Amino acid sequence: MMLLVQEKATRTARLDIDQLVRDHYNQVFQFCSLRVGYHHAGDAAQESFLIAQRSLSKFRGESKPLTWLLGIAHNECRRMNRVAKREEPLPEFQTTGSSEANLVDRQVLRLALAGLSVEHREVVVMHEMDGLTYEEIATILSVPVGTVKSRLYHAFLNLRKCLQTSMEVQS
Amino acid sequence: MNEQLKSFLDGEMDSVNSIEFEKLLGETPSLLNEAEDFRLLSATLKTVDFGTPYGMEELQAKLNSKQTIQASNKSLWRRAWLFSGSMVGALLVIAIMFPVFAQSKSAAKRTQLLAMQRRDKSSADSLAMPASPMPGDAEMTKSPSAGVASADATVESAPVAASPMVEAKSMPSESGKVEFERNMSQFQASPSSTPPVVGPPDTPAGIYVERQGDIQVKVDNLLQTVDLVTGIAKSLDGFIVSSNVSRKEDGGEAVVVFRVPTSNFATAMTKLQQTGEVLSLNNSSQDITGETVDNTSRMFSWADEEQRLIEELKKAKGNDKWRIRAELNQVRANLEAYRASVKSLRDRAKYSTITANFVSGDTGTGNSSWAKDSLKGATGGLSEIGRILGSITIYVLVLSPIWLPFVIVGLIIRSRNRG
Repeated sequence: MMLLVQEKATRTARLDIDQLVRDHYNQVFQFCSLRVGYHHAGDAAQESFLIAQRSLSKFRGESKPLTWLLGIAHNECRRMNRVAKREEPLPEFQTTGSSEANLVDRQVLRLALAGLSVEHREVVVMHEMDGLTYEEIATILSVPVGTVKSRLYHAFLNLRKCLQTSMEVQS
Repeated sequence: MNEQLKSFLDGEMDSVNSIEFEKLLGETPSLLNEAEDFRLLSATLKTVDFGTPYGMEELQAKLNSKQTIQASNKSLWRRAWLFSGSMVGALLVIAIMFPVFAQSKSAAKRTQLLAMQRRDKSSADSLAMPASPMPGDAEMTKSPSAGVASADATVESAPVAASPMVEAKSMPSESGKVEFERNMSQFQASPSSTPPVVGPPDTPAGIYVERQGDIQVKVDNLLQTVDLVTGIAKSLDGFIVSSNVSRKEDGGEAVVVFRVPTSNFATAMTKLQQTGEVLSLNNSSQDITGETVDNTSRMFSWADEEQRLIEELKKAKGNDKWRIRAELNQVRANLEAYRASVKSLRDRAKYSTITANFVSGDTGTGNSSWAKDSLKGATGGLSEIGRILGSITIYVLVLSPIWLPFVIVGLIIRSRNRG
């Protein structure tokens, strides 16, 4: 009887972690890619899910599963950067989409992001690229929502300033 | 106010503030310009392509294998901790039970002493069963009317070998019985007879046993204990022979010698054992039957001689009267000596002597205070805790070859899981 119950519990946990992988792997990968680089993002994402699997019983459901996963990924990326003794790398990306969006050159955007502080850059990445709400960012970073708002506004001001400067230089 | 711009653009502002901010935005061209730039920037950032994610299949394979390994590791880890916990629990139980066991050993020793005491008592009771009296074992009671001793003696049997003189006077024959009764009546009627010899009510018929007990007890308060023993002696119809309390630097000592009826000997010893911690206990018995019977027979013989001289004195004339009277005086002196001896022997058989020796670290003079007692108790408790902790440490260290490998294996598994 005990074995049956244990097997059922294992199966339930298994289903849950599989579901999480299916639903959120891409988002976690992107999140990690912006922090540890595309080449290490696979390891970081996998390790984050393995940690999530071990900690699945501790998840109380107070936040969204994605927020919880990104919190784990955030810590894991920090750990990996610390172990590798490297600064948080600049995001490697290319812009796609409308012509209006392409008005901003990706290299310029990369440099503008590089000019931001770590705190400002991470809220920009989380909000604009990962699509997290202010509250979710506050949960992951363990800071008040007001701090997130303030950081995001000043990050955008700095980005705007950098981009304007670079465009002036180009023109 | 401008800090609210980003939250307005992101829709994170509540409806009331949004309306106000929109109004402000319409009135402030620079703010509107800033908003346009922010929109453009945000749109650009949202179109970023991160590249194709990879590694999902690898992760799922890892999860499959990891689940199995983790389950087994978890189980092993749990077992290791369970075993370690059980070991520590067992050690704790042993450490806690050890002093209790030591105490129970002491209690068992005490119980053994009590059982021995009970055996003694039961044997004494069995000896006290009615038996055939001897000539010298006459039951003597005080006559209320005459105030002199009245002896009720019968000669049924003589189980104890007496001296030749006794045998001559108290043979178990019909003539001997008659003669013995006559002698006894003469003994009772004798004007010079001493106060009656009261025989012990529970003295075994035909057997006189003198019992002695020595006990050494460690007590807390000497004076209180001496008072207690005095009370015990009185309650058991006994009396104190001597009592001595001496104080020393390291405590004190009290010696109480008291006597109680032999029937209460076992009770007295039991009560004495309850006064404290028994250090030593000794019981001894001495059979004084032969001596008692011998002296009793001699006493009757002298009584008979006295009676004969009295008869001669009545018939004597002249100088014979003085000679017989002198002889009678001598006989009466011997008779009194034997009466006293018999009385003493019967008293020894009737009452047992107990020598109680009490030792203590406290003389009970009232100098001890509650603070001193508390300090003593707390110090004792602290030393006990220290002893228990020391015992636990020793057990844990000695048994480390058993539990340490499990803990090390558990830690390795745990670190691997974390890694």
